[in-house]
Amino acid sequence: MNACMYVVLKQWKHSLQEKIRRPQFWIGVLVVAAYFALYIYQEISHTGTTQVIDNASSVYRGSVTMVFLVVAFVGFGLGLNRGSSFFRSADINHMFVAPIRSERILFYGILKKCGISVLITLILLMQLTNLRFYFGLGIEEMLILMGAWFLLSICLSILSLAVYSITAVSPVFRKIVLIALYAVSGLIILGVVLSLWRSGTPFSDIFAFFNDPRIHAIPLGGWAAGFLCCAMDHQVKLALVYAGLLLIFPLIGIIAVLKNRSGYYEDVLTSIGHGYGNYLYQNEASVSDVRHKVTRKKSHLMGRSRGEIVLMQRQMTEQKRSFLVLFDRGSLGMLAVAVLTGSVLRSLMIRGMYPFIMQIIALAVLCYTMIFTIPMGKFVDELRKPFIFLIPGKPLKKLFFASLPSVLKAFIEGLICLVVVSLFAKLHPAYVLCGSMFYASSAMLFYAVYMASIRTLGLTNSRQSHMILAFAILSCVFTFELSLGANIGSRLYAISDDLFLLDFLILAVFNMVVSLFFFVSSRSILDSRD
Amino acid sequence: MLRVKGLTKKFGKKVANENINLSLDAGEIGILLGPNGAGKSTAIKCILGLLRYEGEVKIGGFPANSSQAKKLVGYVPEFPSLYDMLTVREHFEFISRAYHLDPEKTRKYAAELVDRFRLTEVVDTLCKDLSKGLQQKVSIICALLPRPKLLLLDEPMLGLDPHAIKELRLMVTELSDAGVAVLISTHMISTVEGIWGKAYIMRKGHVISCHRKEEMVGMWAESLERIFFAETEAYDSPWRYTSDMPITGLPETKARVSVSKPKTTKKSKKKRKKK
Repeated sequence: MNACMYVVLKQWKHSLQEKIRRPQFWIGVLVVAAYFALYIYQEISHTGTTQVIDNASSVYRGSVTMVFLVVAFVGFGLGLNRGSSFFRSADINHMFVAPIRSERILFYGILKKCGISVLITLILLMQLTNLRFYFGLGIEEMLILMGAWFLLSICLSILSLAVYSITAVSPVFRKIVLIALYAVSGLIILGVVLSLWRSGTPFSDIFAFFNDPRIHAIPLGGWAAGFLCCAMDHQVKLALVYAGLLLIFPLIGIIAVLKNRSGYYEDVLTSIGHGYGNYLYQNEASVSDVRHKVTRKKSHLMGRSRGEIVLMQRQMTEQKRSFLVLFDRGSLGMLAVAVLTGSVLRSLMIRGMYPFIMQIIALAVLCYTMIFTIPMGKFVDELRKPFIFLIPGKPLKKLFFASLPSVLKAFIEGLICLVVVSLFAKLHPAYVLCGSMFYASSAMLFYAVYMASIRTLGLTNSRQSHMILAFAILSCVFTFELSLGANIGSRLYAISDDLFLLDFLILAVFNMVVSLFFFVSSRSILDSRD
Repeated sequence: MLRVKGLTKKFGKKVANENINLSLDAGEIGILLGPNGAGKSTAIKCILGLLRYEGEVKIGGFPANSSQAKKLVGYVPEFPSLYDMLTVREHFEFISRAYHLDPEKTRKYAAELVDRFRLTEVVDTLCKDLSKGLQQKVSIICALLPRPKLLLLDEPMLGLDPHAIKELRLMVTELSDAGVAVLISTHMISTVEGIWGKAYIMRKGHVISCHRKEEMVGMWAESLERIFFAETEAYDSPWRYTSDMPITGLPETKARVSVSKPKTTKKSKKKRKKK
């Protein structure tokens, strides 16, 4: 066994041994086992009475194309931004220095990534029953689906290799590809919006758009969908063409690696967009470059305040320096979601949907998506640094101020997104303000709940574990909030249509009160550093 | 064993190393000294072939990034970076496989080193559970296992206990006696006093002077620290060390004499014109 394989297998072995000792692993195993049990039960008890949904083929193909495009977009984006994240400092200091060929080191990285693809495939396997009962798929169609998925996931894994190898030599190329990626996704969103702009059933329009054969021209996601559709229609030659196109990427990757000799540590950093020089000089610049201190003095946001508030000001200064005060990639994603939601709501509006339902739908979609885009990592980083523990002050205040910049960002993000939604669906202008308040308070609630999960599980636990517990707590809070909101909302709506908007303000206050409760209960995380 | 000619490393417009020339013969112990940001670690990473560079670096006659050169080099990084989910013993096994070493001989040698660095109790512990000092010791053993001909140590004493520092000093001397060239980059001058053979003093990406111990006389021969401070604290003149400059020792009377032709800058030209 070669050295790279040895490291991979030994690490997997020890990780598994570590996980087995933790209770949350067994909870996860129980959930998956329950899911499989349900799957088997469904299979056994199926009497054949389940009705296949209308236009099953169109809905199935449209949704699979949509999923493939999203997966490819995310995979490609990750490949570009963190293409070589599979190398850690241990790899660099041991493997890059050892007489191991760079191609072998790269394949070692891919092997690690393939493990994640296997997990995703397992999730797909769990959906097979539903696909069979509700979409009327036979074994042949399901095999085609698995084949297309397999091809796509392998391509995405090897894509990282290609991106790493090509962009290592030319960062300009990386930028060009990134712009092209955003342009293609922008065009797809535009296409969806335009198809929704037409009157008719909103969702069937979306499926019609994704069933357009021209979509199959889009690299990766489109090709995988093309392979699936052509194979299902028994167009074997065309299906093979799409499969061949999908296999081009791995070939490009391998050729690029062989040509570039990308065995430099520096290339790893270049390909993820971090200059080693900047990293090297950042400390020196801040310590020794006295001349710049005078000019920088004015550009920070530290203000004259003292005490716990500096935690917020420090983060704001950092965000300002990296131009992320208002917008980051997550915000860009939120804007795209807002445009899509607005388009769907517009179609619903044309069909005579009540405004208050549209208002609820818009906020529900945006808040749910926001949970995935909120920068929790920054808060966790704060906990990993000693300052938050050492600064004298009340723990509650420190936690509050450490999370406040993200809440403020969420408020501005909410304003922009709800303006877009309101313009599309012609909603009341006051909705923008009330909705933004609710949106920002939801961000604060999520922060507070996440802190509670850190308090319960400890900082050393994995991010996934924290997320799962946070989701569980949030589900309980939202269930109660939903009934509370419906109760108050119905009374306000009975008085006047516009008064319903007050419901969002009341719920925002509710969120803040609940957040305060969680902040108080998790303040002990600052008692000692984990 | 190591020949570096005109090594220049730029990060965009920033020059990290400029025209570095250094050489080490078999059995020689070289020290890279310099304040923070002098470019010592960057130079070492270039020598290792981790960074792209301009100039020529040859290890045992082979280009730095070649497989043959890598077989000859052992490297202890600035910060110990080990695989969290591997035990100490598995790290040695990994090195043995990566360098295609004889398993039995490597095991014996590893046991010997483990004993010398007092790691016997933790050989089956996962590296994530080790303290920083212990991790540094593992890192040093990993570098020594392939029995390199050139050993590059980047701040090796950081986090080590006094016993380990003493052991490492002894080991470096033994390796030198066995014909291994050793290049140590450090701030902790006291830890390399007495063992160094050649000292390169760096500042702002340049090697400003080079001294051989055997050529030093009087008090300068005894204290590397004295030389370092004389070189770096009094350093405000445009004098630079260049490749064509002879390596000299410092006499007792003057603070510094290792002088070559001045580097002409725009400012100095203007000053001369004014005069």
